[in-house]
Amino acid sequence: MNREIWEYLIHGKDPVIAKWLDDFDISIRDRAKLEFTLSRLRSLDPGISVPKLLAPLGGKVLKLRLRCENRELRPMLCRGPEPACPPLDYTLLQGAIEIGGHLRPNNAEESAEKHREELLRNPTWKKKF
Amino acid sequence: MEEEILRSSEALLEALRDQDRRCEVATSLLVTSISSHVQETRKNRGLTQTELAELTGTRQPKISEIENGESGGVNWETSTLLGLAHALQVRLKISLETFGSLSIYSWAPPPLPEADPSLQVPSDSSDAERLRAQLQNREFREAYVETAVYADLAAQVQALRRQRGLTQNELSSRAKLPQKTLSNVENPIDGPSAANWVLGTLLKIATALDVRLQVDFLPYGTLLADLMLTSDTLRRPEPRYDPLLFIQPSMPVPDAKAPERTRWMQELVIPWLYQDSHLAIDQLVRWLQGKDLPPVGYEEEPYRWILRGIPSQLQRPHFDTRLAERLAVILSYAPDEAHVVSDQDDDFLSGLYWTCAGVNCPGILAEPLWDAYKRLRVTRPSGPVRDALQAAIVHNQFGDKAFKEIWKPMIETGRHHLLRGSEVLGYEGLLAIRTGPSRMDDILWALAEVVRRWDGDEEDISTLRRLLKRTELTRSESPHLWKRAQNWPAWARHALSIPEIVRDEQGDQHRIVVTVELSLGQLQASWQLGEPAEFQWNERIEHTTFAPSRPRAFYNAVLDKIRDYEPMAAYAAYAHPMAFQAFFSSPV
Repeated sequence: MNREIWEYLIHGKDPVIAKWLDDFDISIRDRAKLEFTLSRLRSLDPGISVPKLLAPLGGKVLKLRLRCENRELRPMLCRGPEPACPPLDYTLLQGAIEIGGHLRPNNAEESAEKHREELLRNPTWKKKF
Repeated sequence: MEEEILRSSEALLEALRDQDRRCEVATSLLVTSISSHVQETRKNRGLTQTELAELTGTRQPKISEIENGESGGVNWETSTLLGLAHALQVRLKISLETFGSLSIYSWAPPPLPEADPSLQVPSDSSDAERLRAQLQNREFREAYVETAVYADLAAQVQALRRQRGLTQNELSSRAKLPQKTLSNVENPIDGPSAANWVLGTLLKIATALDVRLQVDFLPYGTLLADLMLTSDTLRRPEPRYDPLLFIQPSMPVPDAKAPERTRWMQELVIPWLYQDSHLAIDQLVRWLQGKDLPPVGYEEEPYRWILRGIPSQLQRPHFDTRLAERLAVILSYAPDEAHVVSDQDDDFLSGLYWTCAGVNCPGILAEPLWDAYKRLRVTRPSGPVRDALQAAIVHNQFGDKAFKEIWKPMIETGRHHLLRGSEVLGYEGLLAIRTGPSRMDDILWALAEVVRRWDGDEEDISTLRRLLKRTELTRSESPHLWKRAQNWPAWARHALSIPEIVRDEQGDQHRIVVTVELSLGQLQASWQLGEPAEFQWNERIEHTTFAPSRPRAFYNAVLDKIRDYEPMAAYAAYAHPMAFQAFFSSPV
């Protein structure tokens, strides 16, 4: 039951998470935490990976919950999504941080949903994270 | 003792085989190894105790205490060990290992990251190469380890708890720790207030899981190998299944007396469950899809063949646990929410739940099945899938949750808002609760609810009898039922042959009446204190002759009822067998 983690490519070119890490100046410590968490999300079954790591956002998009120094990382992802993708795989759709209950960027949820739809139309717009 | 053990590997193995000694020996060796590894690495780095204390932000006596193994190590904090590891530029790893692995354990001072071949040579794997590049940064690797040390330990405690079939409550009780502490270890707080445990707490958890605690100072390059960490690599066998300690029992053989197709299935399932080092979940998924099965035919669902594949009764509980663990892994992927295989259908999901219903391992399955139940509102599966989930919960429930949320509403209303239930199914669910305090009060309440709502027709009477038969009340429990049943409707009391106390018109004389329903009619025996028993036969079908063949058995059954129910015990003396004989010997 192996799974792979993919990353959405904006317009089929720029990796969305790599861009977010730079744009929002995510610290080295927070990057390390994100890197570790995604590696375990890939290799461990959900029954023993850190519980409550993933929270639903209403639709098919989930948010990863990572508590960091003074803010919380909330990268957004989904299962699949395109039909040819193995159903257990995840695709990272959008980077976000949460401070005081507010998401940055403000439209992170809408963007994640939009990127998911774009991936359904253009299944090649992603690469291995 | 410790020196003697260290001198001889045979003496060490002997101590580890001994259930009463192994924990003490392993703890002693753990403290020794932490002390010596800190000291050797410090010297390897050319640091004095004072310099290491400065780098760690502590005082020299603390370093001295650790290097000398003072205080037995139980009060050492993981944050202190993490600080030491950062200062010495090594990776701290805390894990749970088999006792047998102690006999082959070896360690050497880890090289500095700059001299670590794993970090310097590019890796073939893209995942490893990505991490290798990032680990060149000291801040990154220290932060990575800080997360990994707690998260991986948490995952391993959960993996072992699942492997042992223990709930969090059971494990915390075994470890003599508050459940909250165990929950915190399994869900480490990160962020500003990071997790921090004393070794004593972790030692208690290790002991309760029948493994030993290991604290290692390793090269950072070993983090690359841990990218392959899976549920399998975190599991550890109990000491009796540890091949380094004991010769392992040979693999069971298929039951020679079983039907041919069952034997075929056992030939597949036995090796799959016997080798426990690898969960091989994909195989179970394929079987549930009806793939890779021997030619067992299509008239029965795959789950039936999977369950038949589990070997003889003698091995059953052990193999059930192993199957349950594998089922729990599939359930953890929430297959009801999103497919786990591309061609998943309803048959797969109901087969999965029915397989769960076939094993009784609430410690492993209750939690993931409950999660699936909670998702029903969103997932809205088909009726057959919900029925299968309900059956799985009946056999794998823990505590009061299922009673309060499922069985109680079913008993009260005859239906459930998420499952296709009835009061009978609710009652069966209640009876299947095997954990926690006695459910006698709930059972009596449930029966009263059922008879209150039913009309008392033929079907109700036979169902009520079946329910009571399934209840299997003990001799001490029956009187509670009879006492409570005095308030039941007459049809229900008669259906259960419950003795009644009847007052005469003046209210000062009491008579007990026992009614027994038979296929041809109704037999009533009644007593007044001090008087012999009287009998009455009310035939249901006209012109029949009643001649029971076992009057003595009937007499004994009636007498048992009277004796068990204290208010009626005084009447027992007057229920003379001759009275029964006289009644039965003369045709009605």
